[in-house]
Amino acid sequence: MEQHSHMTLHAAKLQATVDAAKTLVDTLGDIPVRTIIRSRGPKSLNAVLHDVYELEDTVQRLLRKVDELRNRLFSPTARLPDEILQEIFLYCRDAIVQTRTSTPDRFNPEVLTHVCRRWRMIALDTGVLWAQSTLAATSSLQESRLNPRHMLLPVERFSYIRNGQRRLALLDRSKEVPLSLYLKFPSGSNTQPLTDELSRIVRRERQIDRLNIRASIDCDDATSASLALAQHTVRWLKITRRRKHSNPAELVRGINGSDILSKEWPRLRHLVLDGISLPRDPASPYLLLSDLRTLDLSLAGLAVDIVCLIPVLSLCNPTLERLTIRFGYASQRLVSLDYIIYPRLRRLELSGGQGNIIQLLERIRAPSLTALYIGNLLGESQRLAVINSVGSALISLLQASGCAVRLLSLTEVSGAIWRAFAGTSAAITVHSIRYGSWGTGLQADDDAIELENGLLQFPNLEELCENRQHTVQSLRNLLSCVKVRKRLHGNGVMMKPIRRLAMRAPFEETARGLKTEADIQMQLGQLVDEMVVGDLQWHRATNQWLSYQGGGDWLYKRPEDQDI
Amino acid sequence: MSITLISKEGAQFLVSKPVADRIGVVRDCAYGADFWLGYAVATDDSMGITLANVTSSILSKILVWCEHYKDMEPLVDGDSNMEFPEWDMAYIGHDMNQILFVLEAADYLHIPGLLLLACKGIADVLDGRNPRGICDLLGIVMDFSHRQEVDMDKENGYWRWFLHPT
Repeated sequence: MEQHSHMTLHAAKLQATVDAAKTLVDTLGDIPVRTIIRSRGPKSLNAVLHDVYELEDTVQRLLRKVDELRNRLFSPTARLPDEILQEIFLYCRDAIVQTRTSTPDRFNPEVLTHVCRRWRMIALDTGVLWAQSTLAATSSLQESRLNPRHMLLPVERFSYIRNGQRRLALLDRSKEVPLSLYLKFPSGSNTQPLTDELSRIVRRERQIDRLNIRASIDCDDATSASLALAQHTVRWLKITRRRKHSNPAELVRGINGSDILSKEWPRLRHLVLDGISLPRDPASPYLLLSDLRTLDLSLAGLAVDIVCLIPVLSLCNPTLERLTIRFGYASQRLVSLDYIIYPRLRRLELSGGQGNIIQLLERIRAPSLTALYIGNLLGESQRLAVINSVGSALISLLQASGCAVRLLSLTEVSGAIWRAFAGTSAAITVHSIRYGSWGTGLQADDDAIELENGLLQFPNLEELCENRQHTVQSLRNLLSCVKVRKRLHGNGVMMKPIRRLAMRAPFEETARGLKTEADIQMQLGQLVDEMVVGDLQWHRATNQWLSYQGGGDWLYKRPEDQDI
Repeated sequence: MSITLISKEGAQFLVSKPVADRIGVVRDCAYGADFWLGYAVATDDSMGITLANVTSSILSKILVWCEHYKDMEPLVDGDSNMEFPEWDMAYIGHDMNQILFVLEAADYLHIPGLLLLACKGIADVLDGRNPRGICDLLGIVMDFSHRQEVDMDKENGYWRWFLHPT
């Protein structure tokens, strides 16, 4: 009823506006166009002219006002319901924007509160926009200024942040929405205020949904205290632990996997541990992670082998969908272990120690696997026996699991592994390949799959991502490969043409070399649907290179930035 | 089976059933599934269904989306972390006026997938703009009182330079 009377009133006012506008148009139409007055006339004419000029200015001013009102009245955003505007704001929240510092940052929701009263009211009422915060034990002026979610104790004089107004504003605005917190404990900092603050937040019955801790090893106590406060609510957890000096033994002391995994994490779905050692004999038994979907372990600088790792991997195998392990060293010790079956694992990413990777590949069974990344094998990579072991472990995993891998990324590995793979039935399902080595000791001739003939072993291949310093010759080989596949496809052979190509930016030093590379890349750009070189994308319709903004239906995606 | 849709200007669009199924209002009208929502149930398909709030140009654009999604499910669960396919992003484009009209029409026609895509499209166009830029883009008048402006300046502390660059 109220809506009806509102619309009736609206219609009546619009009708009045229409009538007034018609009168205005008629009146304006009746005004004759005046002539230009070039010379001074009699005094009486000057007085009239003065009035004319004033009236003309007033009419112009009023017409500008009409324009402004028209824009406001008929702006489609004015007609959008509040809940749709809220939905738009939520998409804004997750956007990554380029700032003046050229460092990409997340969208600053405060922008939305400065547009108009209505937007401000809706933005302040959308708790999710304000649920992300950064708490740092100490921080710089620059950091506090650039990060609108930064809210604790910078060392410089920041009255607004130091007095806690920003903190209160963020916490109040986020209402009851679970918080997403980024805690920073730099080396040598006083961590007490930060952990106190965290306790206060939890005491206010606020749930912590995502927790990202970046701490120096001398702040392990603060890290433990923070974890204890978030343990029962956190769904997304990342811990990055950094040592003060280059001594790797420092990381082994203090917090280790046992301190984290022997506790109960009832809601945890995403776990990233970086710089956390996994002991061979945990002090307490590990507890199951019954809902974990993503596990990411960075073990650089840590002597963690397969024996330390298997108990962790067994905690979550029924639910795990993504597994990433970066081994820190090459273990050659062979051990006898049972298979672990991952029924839901879709993406497996392994790098680092060869011995560990071989043993892990031989013990994993993943029937749902669709994306496999192997890279940067540390160890005696040039020894043929070891290379063959990696190749056969890889093939054994794929064949024994009966999976259909669509994306295969083998980077910083010897070409012998590609050759071992290319002849097998597992190659038939591959749609996307990433290959090449960048700055490792591998010989250029032996670092990757053979472009011209090797790729013919992959009949369904449509996407090729090159990860190496290409040469004119390698580009020519690539061009030849793309042409051959296109021709075969055109002749009815069961061979898909390459549709998407990505490669690093040109590295040729001479102008002539660069020109030749550019010519070949343009030819490639005409043969495929999408082509990305470095940060540029070839736009076929306009024949020019444009900035690549990401997106697209690429199977290969760069690992996303998971930081808050 | 085909259904005739009639735009605001009276232009007729003949669409197949799978395409029409993407449009909630049309689905309800044609099959009377949501009688309790109060839509008129079309008894004779040849009469056509009039969509009085949608212009021909917007309706034809919307039908392109419906045609694309006639055999597959669009993103509809509103998870802003999910990435829209490239086709979707190319479809929605960066023309703010057109996206807003698509958004209004998607809301009126009950097409949740398209509504979310339009919201995402608008958010992408707003990306990186300051409040003044957003106002200019959307024809919004900054209607804060002087007192409100003073309060907002206080609360924004040290990144006012971004919100209101000189």
